[in-house]
Amino acid sequence: MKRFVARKSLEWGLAFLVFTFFSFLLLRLVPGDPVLYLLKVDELNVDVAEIDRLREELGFTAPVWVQYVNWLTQVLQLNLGNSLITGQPVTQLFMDNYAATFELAAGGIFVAIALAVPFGTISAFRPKSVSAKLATGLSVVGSSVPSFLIGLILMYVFAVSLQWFPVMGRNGWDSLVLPSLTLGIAVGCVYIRLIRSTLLDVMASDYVAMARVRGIRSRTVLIRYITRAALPPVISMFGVSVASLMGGVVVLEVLFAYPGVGKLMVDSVLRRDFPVLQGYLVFTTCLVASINLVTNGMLRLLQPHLYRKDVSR
Amino acid sequence: MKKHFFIICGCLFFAVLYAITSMADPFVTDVTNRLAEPSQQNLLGTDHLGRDIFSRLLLAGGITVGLSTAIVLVTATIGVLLGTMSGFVYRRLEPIVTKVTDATIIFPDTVLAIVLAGVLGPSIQSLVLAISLIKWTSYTRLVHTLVLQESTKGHVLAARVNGLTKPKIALRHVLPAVCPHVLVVMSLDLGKVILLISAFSFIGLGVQLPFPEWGGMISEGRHYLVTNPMLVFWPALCIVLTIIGSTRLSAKLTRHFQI
Repeated sequence: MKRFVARKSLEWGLAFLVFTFFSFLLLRLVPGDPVLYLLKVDELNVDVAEIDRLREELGFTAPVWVQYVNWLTQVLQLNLGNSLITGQPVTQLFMDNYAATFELAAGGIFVAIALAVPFGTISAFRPKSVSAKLATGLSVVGSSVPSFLIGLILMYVFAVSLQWFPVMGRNGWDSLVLPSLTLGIAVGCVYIRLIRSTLLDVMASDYVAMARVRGIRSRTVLIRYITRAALPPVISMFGVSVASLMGGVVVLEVLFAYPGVGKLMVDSVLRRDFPVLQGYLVFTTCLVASINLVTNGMLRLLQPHLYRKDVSR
Repeated sequence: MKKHFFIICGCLFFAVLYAITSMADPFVTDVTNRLAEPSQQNLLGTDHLGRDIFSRLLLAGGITVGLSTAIVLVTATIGVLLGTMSGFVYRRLEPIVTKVTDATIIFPDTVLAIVLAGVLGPSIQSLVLAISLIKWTSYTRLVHTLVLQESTKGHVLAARVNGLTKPKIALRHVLPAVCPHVLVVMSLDLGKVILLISAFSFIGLGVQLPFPEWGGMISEGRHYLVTNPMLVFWPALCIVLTIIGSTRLSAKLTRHFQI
């Protein structure tokens, strides 16, 4: 495990350098001169001295690698610059908006688990029951209907017709219900099928049959024998879907006008607020990568035999 | 399997059909004829600007499915090439290719798509670029692993003993075993990319007006959800049917190749 942590952190550090460099270069990708762009030359009259002053201020006169090192040291001090539009520090903007997004993501994951675990288990153990058929239907719907459409339908039924929940915005827990329900359905339906197939695989294995033969209660078999073996695929899938969760959150935040980080980003795209976008790329990529690292570590703890073979070879 | 393939090809076919036949122009607005009922001229009626819904649906299908197919084909080709090169033909490339793949795969594609939209301006070009920049890594990784597994097998060793050149072995003896897996992943990815393009068009960062896109059409039509639900229903139906087609295709492919 120690070696794993050391190797992973070295890899992660290298990857961090590479992707921050890419993120840093992105601003240079802006068509034309970014300084002229920032000053909106087409709309305003600016003299050459003004342009040079801003160029100096943004540090564009130094060589690229010096600029990168300066920028990176600032990033490591959690200073991602200021928003071009509001002038607020990007870190502060993120603090407010990520709190909202995490609430939504947590709600979504909660709904997803509440949906996928019972339905997946039932459809594996009682494949002919009504709930199993419901689960199959749900997983087909969830994987083929785009999340914004699910959200639109839920919004129409529960917010417009029945008026149980607010249509959009973020005040109080009841405004969280519809977005997290949508996110949960969109994410959870994929897991129904996954949980079902892994459970079926594990149930067919010899040691489960052996445990049954030994007369262990079926509930104990389920909890102690089957669930533990069925966890790794689900966890690794979860690590993969965190990235798509971040993307799914963006669409739903726009649909429900939910003031999370996704909404902030789409607004920043339309206003072309580069420091915010750059900070988002760095921050979210770090977040997704760390969650992947954690899921990798968990997998290693859950199935040590796979990795031991790796060492002896 | 053919049936499901046709569902996807159907969209492309209709886009071509649209170009040949003289259907209503999907771009012409007619305010006097807005939100019209289905008629002989407008098979599915008109939208809030009086544009023909049917021809817009077909053109949108052509754009989305065409672009997604292109993205998947190009990235899969890159993946197969790089994976075979690094895994079998030029093993010296392996450290470079795996390092670059590992570094690139960290970027979530939606996040990069948003940032690229911000830098290059919201457009379908930046979305396609963002998806392609990330997608090739998963194919490279998949092909690399499969090629490594395959190259230790007996028939490949026999071919090498017989003195065949490495590129020839790769083409004749390694790739035939790899391709089924790649095809299954491609058919799944097709649906994912279509969903991604629709979702981004829905929030206004994908296909830009006046060009139609199913997600964009839903976004425009949702303000009329109470009075004219058909504006949302038709593009929604198109998306759902296409995605079901792509997942069914991948399921059939899996069964066909017995993976």
